[in-house]
Amino acid sequence: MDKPLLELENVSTGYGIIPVLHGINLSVGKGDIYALLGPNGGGKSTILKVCSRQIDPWAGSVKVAGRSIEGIAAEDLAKAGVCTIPEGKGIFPNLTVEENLIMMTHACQSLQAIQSVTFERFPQLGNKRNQLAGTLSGGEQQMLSMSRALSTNPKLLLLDELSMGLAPIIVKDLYGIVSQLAEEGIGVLVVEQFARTVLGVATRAGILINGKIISEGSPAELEDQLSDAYLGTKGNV
Amino acid sequence: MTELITFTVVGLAIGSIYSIASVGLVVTYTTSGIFNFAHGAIGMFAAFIYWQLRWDSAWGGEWPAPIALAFVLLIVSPSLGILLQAIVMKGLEGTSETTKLVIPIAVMLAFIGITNWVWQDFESRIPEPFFGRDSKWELGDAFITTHQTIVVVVAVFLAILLKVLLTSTRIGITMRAVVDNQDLVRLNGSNPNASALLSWIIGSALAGLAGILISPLLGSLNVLALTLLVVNAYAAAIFGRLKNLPLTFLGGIAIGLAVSYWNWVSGTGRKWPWLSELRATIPVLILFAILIVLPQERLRGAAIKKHREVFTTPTMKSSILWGIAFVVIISGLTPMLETKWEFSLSKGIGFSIIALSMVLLTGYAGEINLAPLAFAGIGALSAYQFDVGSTVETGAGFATLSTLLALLFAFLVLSAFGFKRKKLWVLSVSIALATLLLVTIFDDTTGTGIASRESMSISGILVATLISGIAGALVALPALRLRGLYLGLATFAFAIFVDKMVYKQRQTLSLDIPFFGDGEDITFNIFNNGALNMPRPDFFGINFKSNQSAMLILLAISFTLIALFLIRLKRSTYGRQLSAMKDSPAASATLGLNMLRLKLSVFTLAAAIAGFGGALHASNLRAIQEDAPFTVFEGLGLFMLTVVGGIGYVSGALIGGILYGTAFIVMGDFWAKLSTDWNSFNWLFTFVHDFFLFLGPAVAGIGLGRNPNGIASQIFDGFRVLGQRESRRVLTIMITIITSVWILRVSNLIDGWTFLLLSLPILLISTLIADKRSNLEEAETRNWELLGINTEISMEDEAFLDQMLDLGSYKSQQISKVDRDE
Repeated sequence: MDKPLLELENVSTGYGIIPVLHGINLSVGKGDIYALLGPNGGGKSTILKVCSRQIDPWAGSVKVAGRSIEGIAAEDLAKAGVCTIPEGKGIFPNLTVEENLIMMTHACQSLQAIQSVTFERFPQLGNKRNQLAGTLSGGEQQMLSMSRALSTNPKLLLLDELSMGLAPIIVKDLYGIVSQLAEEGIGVLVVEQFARTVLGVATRAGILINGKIISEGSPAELEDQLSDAYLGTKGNV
Repeated sequence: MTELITFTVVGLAIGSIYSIASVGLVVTYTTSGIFNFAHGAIGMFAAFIYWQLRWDSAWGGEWPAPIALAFVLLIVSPSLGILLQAIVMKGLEGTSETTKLVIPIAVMLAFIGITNWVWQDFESRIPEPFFGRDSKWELGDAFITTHQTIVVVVAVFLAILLKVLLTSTRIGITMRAVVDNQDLVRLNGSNPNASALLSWIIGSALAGLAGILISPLLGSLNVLALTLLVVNAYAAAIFGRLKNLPLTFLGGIAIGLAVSYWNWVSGTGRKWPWLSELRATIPVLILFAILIVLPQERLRGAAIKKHREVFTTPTMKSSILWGIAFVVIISGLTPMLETKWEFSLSKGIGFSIIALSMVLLTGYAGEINLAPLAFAGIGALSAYQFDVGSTVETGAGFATLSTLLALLFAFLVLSAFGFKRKKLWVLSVSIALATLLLVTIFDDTTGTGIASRESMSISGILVATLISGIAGALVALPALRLRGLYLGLATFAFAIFVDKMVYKQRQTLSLDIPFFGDGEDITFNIFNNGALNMPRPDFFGINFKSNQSAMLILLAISFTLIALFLIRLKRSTYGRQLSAMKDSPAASATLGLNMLRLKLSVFTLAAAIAGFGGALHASNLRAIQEDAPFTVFEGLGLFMLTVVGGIGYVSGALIGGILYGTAFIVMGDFWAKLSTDWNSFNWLFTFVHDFFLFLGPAVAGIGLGRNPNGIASQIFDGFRVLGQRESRRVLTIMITIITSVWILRVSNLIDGWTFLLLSLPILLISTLIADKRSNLEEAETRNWELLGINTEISMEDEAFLDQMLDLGSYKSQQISKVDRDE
């Protein structure tokens, strides 16, 4: 097996003086969908922020495709093919749909390519291309943000709370796209609170509690531990 | 017809300049989220540089117009934009609304300061229009100058260019995306700083262009007039709701036309003397009107910010102790200060009292008010008119007026304090009656001719407080639904309105109060000749006229009493309601808080405090002028320095007021003294002196305005150890030593410098000693709150925590209960 697309070694970080992550080890290979689960405040989104260079690790190293990303600007990492869809809709509400697509061209794709991929996959966005993105429905907004993952040919996809505030049927649809992308050879790290949906498509999963990954394994293995983790009966020991 | 064409062309030209300026403002706002108060000042600065290059005889001068234009617009203004973005504005994302207002205000004051510094002498600098004054062409019977034509064409061209840039190019779209979400722009693969930089470059270049274009229309270059003129662009920018460029452009034109047509109709203000200054206020009236008509902003919840302000409220006990200490220190200083220094200090405390109104309104209630000194000015003016200025047939008119005002005031404030129906009425009426009694019996206004009193009376101050309080309510009434920047702009408009329409008003007003006397009861001249001689008070058997020490102590006591009242207020239900409204209007609304009543009352109270402070402050100064000390720019400076001091603390108001009224002037004096003593270093000391005088406040604002908690909290944190129980012995020793040094000073055994050199180190050393002692004790006790953050909690730790939380007995009870159950 070649080098994993994303590799975290003993990463610790936090905000200000408050530590959040304690020694995270994690790796995502080609075609993997790694689901990071766990209750609120565990540090799931923080892991994504470290991976996308929005915050610096205090200790440990983050490697993308075998190379350390220390000191690289977030925008350069994005250009290099790490696509991050942040929590909440990853769109610009005061720009139109079309202008949102133009913003995606910063990741070195032509507008035509982006438009054709997006409107083919989500025809309803094509009808609303001149509408302000903030006025789209929640599902459509998430589609618009997912279209960045679809159309900019990333090598690594980092997804934060894809299901937040969406109807189950849309969530299912979106995860369909995620697994399709993984089949094409993209590595995916997805953070979810809403665990059952993502376990259906994930290839590996980890449970993150209080800044530590307390268990890791195949989705089936983890399913049993989930309720313990969420209800906190084991987690805090 | 000829007139119509002429005035239309004039309006179009000036409107086009407003449009250019406001479009620049909108570009920086939409791309950085910062409302650039310095926009007008940048234009003013550019106009001065352009004048220097083109016409100055000493340096520069004689540059050909195209080269000078290119130099200013393509090199100077863009560099200013780059500097602003790189040094000042970059760190403002995610900071509080107050900070986002204060930093640009500081930048504006910096530009005004630099310009006043560089172009110091009062030489008249007259810029020429493009192609000279005689270059014009004919349209019908009217003449249109080439300058006007160029202005209109350039404005239209620029508007189209910017529209294309912002909507059809990727860099333009990125500039707008940066406002929505900077982090997301990064995740999309673009550097947000680059696009923000571009927008500041464009914004400054447009401001510079507007400044250069407008300066020939004004005659001689004037720093404040030029800065304020571009302020008119604010109205246009708001007309476009700070984002719509075509509407902004139209708004600018409309304002230009409105001003020009008003000039036509009113014969340049000559027709109606009362409204002679209206043409300067039309844009701000439009600004106020648009703000009010704009669709209501949705109530928002608490926003998540990078920098949180944390204002703790001191306990009542420690506040009273601090208050007493403050008055004692000020009284102790009086025997050793020269009258000149006493006057400087009392000036600072006067401003501090006015700054307290901002602590209540902005610090406690989160409502931004950029017109604190307008209310203070109204207060000072009312006190003057009540005691000195007016000719009165019968004092009953005044008595009626003050009773009614008191009734309204009490009703507004008490209803927000939670009084209802019968209780509310009974209380309000009794307060009104008490006012009537005070004004008529104790202060003798029923007789004839109370005017031309030679001193300020208690009822004069009372009436000043009431009138400015009600004025505050009147301003707040339309502005009730505004918040943040929009409220700031509305109050700013009000301040300019007061500047122009009240301070510049030379008309005589006669009132006939029904049922009393015959004919006109009260006659007064609103702002007589642009200067009023304020009387000093003369009550409690003390004559404040010649006794500056007494005046200083009076101001200090007034400050302390109002400050204590505010702290008490903050700790009451009312204060908690204010905090709730500040933190999350949405949550407060869902809890059933009547925010209209709350806002109205807090505006009334704050304006009343400002009015009270204004009356006392003006009385201390002995005179007020139309251009000092209550103008809009001074108000902005005071607001800025109060934020620097810490707008959530009464001590912040004290620091802000003293910085504004005393510190920079005293520092300037200090360096001026040095420069006369040490002639060889004259240039250096003069430079430092000028620096403090022109740029001191602005530099303080830029440097310290970012800390949302202000410097008051830092200072007080430093001295906090002295208040602790353990350091009581150190405190007693310190006070004893300082008092003995003070006695030595008062009995003239040592001089002022020795006093300073002895007492300051004692203060610092004792603080250090107390700090050491408390640190030693702290080291002995474990920081049990922090257990388990870095490491796992062991069994031993758990037992320790149980012991600290007194859970041991509880746990054993539980266990024994379980045992029994089994």
